[in-house]
Amino acid sequence: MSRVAITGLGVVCALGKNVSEFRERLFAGRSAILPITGVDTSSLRFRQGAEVQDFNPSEYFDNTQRELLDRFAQFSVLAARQAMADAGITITPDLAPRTAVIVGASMGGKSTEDGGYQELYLHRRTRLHPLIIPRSMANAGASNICMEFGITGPAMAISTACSSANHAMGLAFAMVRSGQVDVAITGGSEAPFSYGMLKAWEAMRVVSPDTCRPFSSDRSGLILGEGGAILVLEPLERARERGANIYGEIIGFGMSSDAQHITRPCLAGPAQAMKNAMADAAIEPAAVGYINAHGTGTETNDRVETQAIRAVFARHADRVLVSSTKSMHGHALGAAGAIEGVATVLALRERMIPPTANFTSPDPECNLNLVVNKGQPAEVECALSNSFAFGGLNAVLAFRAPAALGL
Amino acid sequence: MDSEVATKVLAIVASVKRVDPATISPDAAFEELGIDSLDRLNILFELENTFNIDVPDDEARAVVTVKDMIERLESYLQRRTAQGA
Repeated sequence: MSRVAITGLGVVCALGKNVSEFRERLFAGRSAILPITGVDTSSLRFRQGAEVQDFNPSEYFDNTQRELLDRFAQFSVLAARQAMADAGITITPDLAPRTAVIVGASMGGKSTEDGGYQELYLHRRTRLHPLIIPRSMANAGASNICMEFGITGPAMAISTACSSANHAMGLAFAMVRSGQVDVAITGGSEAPFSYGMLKAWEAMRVVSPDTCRPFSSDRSGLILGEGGAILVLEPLERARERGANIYGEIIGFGMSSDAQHITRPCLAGPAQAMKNAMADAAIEPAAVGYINAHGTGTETNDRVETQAIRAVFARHADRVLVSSTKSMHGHALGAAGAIEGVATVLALRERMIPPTANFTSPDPECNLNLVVNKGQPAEVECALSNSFAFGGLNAVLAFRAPAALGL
Repeated sequence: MDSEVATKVLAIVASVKRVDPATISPDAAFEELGIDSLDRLNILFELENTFNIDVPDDEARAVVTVKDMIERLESYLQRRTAQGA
């Protein structure tokens, strides 16, 4: 069993199109929630979203790639390019079959599908574009990362709604730890801003007409986000031998299923996933100094997540720092865990806890030790990153700071 | 509870819960009737389609009984008629 080092990061989301932009706005507590521009919102009950700003695909992709890649797959390829350049890894013929690509994607290429169906149903066309399937399939991100780098090892997409990226990263972590692969490129991507998807979210009545205020007494729902984030994982010894920059470690992964209700969260499942992650990491709750919460900003999630954290951490729940960065980059669904994973890694490395932005007043039912509105300096050894999905599928990752390695 | 609106609302609630409308007590809270958050979404969807209305999210959250739902709907429909909409 190897220890698993994180040696590359890449991110494209509303907070920034690279790690440096992301980091600056994350710690400053600058929410990137703005009026939605990619879709006409005049017939929607909400207008706000966390879109990637000023994104021009032709800056990054040639005509052939633009034709082949839906926006969600573009985000995963871009984040992977950044992360691989950051890691300084070249895929040699020996390494190609020993590298895994495991990427979360909840919705897949919905804009592509939506556009195709408009042609069919609205414009009464009788044939569809032949690339709709390869563009919209949920594994398009994973497949295009493989083609971009010539990776021939195990590759797949994981689709567990809002837990997709955490499940993907957890599986990648397990594969590196067990020695099944030497390198894993993992994370998630999502691009849910199509008219059809927004109308479907509207019908769920969980999207805020205002902004995302997790754990705040006046919270009014989630705000949808988009983007992609990728982490490069490799055995710690390998990373040390090649003199890689080590951001920190993934040390544990916990999963559970609620088996209760398809959309309503419960206490037991999330609590079990957090316990499982700490047991897998062989750490006690007191070693955890920060939790990047699922924190969607819905009335129910934040109340139930608070209860779950209190159930697991007991008296330490008064001390462990908690924030939801969805308040800044929105809820990026299948990319959420990956973006939040990057946020958590940066928090541990930079000894700075990113805040819950847009927070106005405490809710007695969310009585956690929240970091609100601006970053808080804190030296933390271990952190958890929570993802709790519709469908009751929970995935929690445990991270350790590079300081624990003497870095 | 014997208006046309009440009859339609009870029929919608009954169809979503797959029970006889006569078994639904309008005064009971949704929870007591076994109506969960997803059932409420389905009921709202059917109400919006049946009465050609748009129910804002905060209004939807504020309703806790079938009776409450019927009264709010009746009052809204009366206002709409008065406005000649």
